[in-house]
Amino acid sequence: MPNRSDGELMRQIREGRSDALEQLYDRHARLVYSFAVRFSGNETLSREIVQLVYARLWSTKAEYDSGRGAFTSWLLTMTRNISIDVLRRERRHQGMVSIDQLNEMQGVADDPESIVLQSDQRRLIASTSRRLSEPQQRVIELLYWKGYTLQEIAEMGGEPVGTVKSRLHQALKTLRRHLQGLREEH
Amino acid sequence: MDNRETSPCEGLIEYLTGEGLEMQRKRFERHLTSCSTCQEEAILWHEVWDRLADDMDLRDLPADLKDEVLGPLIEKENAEPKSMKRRTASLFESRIVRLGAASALIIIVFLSGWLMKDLQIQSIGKETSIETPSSIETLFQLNAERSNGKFNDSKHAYGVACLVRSDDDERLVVYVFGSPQTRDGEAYQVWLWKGGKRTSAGTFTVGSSGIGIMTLPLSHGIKDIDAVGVTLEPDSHSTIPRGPKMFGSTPQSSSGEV
Repeated sequence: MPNRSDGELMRQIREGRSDALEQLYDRHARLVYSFAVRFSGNETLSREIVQLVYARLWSTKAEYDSGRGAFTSWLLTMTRNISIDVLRRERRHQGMVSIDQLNEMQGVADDPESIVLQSDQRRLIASTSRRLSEPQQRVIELLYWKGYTLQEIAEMGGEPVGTVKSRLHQALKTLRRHLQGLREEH
Repeated sequence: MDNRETSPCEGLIEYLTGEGLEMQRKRFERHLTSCSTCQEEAILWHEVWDRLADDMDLRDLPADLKDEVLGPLIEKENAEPKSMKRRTASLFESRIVRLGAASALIIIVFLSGWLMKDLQIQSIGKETSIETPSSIETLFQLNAERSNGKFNDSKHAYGVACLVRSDDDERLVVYVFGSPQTRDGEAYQVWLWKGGKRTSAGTFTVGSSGIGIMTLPLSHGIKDIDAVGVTLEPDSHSTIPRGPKMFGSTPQSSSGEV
């Protein structure tokens, strides 16, 4: 069988082709699951997130336009949005957590056997992230990986939202500068 | 003078992080079309933002996850031509055409303010070219939840939950009219209460007509329902209500709250 592109698989999914959905699972579920684990730090929630992502793909509401970027970027954006919904739901049950608790929650326990691959790109962004100051790393972590809003982050830290925005802006500028520099080196 | 606080460019980060009110987003989108600085910033932002996902370890998938994820989706597809969402999204397909047509007639009856039960039967009787349900039993009238402010522009919002029986089929049909149109992935979700326990019966969308409909085969084992509620959810994946309650069954027949 010819290797179908992700866009082609999405078109076939809209026609109700379950084999196309299965192929998208085989191709990308590991990425979605890994993202969910990183985001939620919880095995049960990660499984739920994967379930919701593929249910969304299977529904008519997920429309991928190949002209607007890579499929994996689109898929991860969807995964992140669903992860945010799931985590916000959980937080409503648990109440707000403090910055200290969040620091304790960072990441999940390392399991060397489950970590199979770390690509050069992943090492690159991880090493670049370490160049950020601790407050900058924290704002990225809370905003991108924990799904908090700028306002919520400001309230947690007891500082104006403008300060958080400025810190985020500086963090992204730093990341961009390092990524550009590394590209030029290679 | 530093006018950063009042500059429309100030809204860039909220826009890019998907925060802010819909009105603010639209306002910023208008600004973005004419501001080259924000356009450049937005492009650069996306370059970095999309790369943030690289900061994770790839993990092995649990062996049983594939069946858990795909099993229900594909099973549902095999059991019925369309899943619940697809069924509601493509209303005019298959057997739903028949039920939809019958239900549309019922809606007309409500809108006309005529005696409901008699005319339901008469109206359905006219649909001889489609499968005629042998009976339609109104289980619940659904009242719009006006306290949420979503029905300010709709004085006649209303809904009903019916049990529609045909020779070999029995379905719960829930429909609403005069209800706000769903946007950006929103979905109405129907919740059934039985014995103090709430279950989701499915989702549907509402178009510009303000009419929405959902059908549920009662082979799912949902009978003798105590109450029905409808919420407006941010998407169609809620396992518990996350959005505002839009409709609720009348008190005399309900014993639960959604």
